[in-house]
Amino acid sequence: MPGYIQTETRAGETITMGETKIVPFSKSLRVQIPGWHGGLIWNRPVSLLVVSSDGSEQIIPIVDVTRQALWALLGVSLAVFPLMMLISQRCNKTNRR
Amino acid sequence: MSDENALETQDEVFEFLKEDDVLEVIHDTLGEFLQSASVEAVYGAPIKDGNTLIIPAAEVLTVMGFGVGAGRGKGFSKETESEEDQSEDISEGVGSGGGGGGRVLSRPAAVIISTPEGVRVEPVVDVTKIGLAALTAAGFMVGMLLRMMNPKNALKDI
Repeated sequence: MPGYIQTETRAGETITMGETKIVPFSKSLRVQIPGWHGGLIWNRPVSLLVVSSDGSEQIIPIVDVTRQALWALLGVSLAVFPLMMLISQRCNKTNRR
Repeated sequence: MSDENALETQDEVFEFLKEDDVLEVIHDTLGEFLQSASVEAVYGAPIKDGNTLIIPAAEVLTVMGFGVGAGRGKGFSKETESEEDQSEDISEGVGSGGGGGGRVLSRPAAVIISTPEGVRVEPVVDVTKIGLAALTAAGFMVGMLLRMMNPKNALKDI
C-alpha cells in the first residue's frame, strides 16, 4: 500500500468488569494526499477480546449493520444498472418492430 | 521586495513560523486531528449500572485541510537623495497567515453490554440513514429506467 494510505489496528485499554476483562480493538484508515496539508482519518470499532474468569479468550467481532446495509444498497444499484440498460435496449427493439 | 527575501521552501516557511504563534496553532490542530485515529475516539467511556457495563462504540470520520504562508520584505520608507540616507530609511516587514477547515462525522455503530452472564454486542441500526439511501437509490434507478425506456433516448444498435 502506498505511504499516503495507511491502515492500523490498535488495542485500547483493558476494561475490567468483575473478573471479566475486555480489550477493545479499532481499525483506522489514514489518507494523506501528497502536497496537501491535512488528510482523512476513518476510524471504526472492529472487535473485542474477552478474557473470562476461567482464562478462556473469545474474540467478538463488532458488526456495523448500517454500513453493511449501505454497501449492499450501493452494490445492488451498481448491479441493477447494466440490467436496466439491457432491458431498455430490448424494449426499444420491440417498439421499433 | 527583492526575491532573495522570499520564503520559497517549506522548511524556510516553517522556520520562519517558529517565531510566530501560527505553528503552535497548527501543532495543536494536527494533534487533535490525529487523536481521532485513537481507540478512545471510537469507544466511549464505560457506563456502569449495577452488574452491567455498557460501552458505546462509534465510527468516526475526520477530514481536515490547512495551509500556511509567510513572507518578508525590505523597502525604502521614503524617497532619499544620497546613499547614506537610503541605508537609514530601510524598513523591513514580515507577515504570515494560515487557514484551514475540517469536519468530524461520528455515527454510533454498536453497544457492548457486559453482564455476569457474558459479553454481547448489540448493533445500532440507523434506519433513517438506510431508508434515505434506499429511497435515493430507488429514485435514481426509476429515473434512469424511465429515461432509458423513452424512444428518444434509445441506445443505438452496435
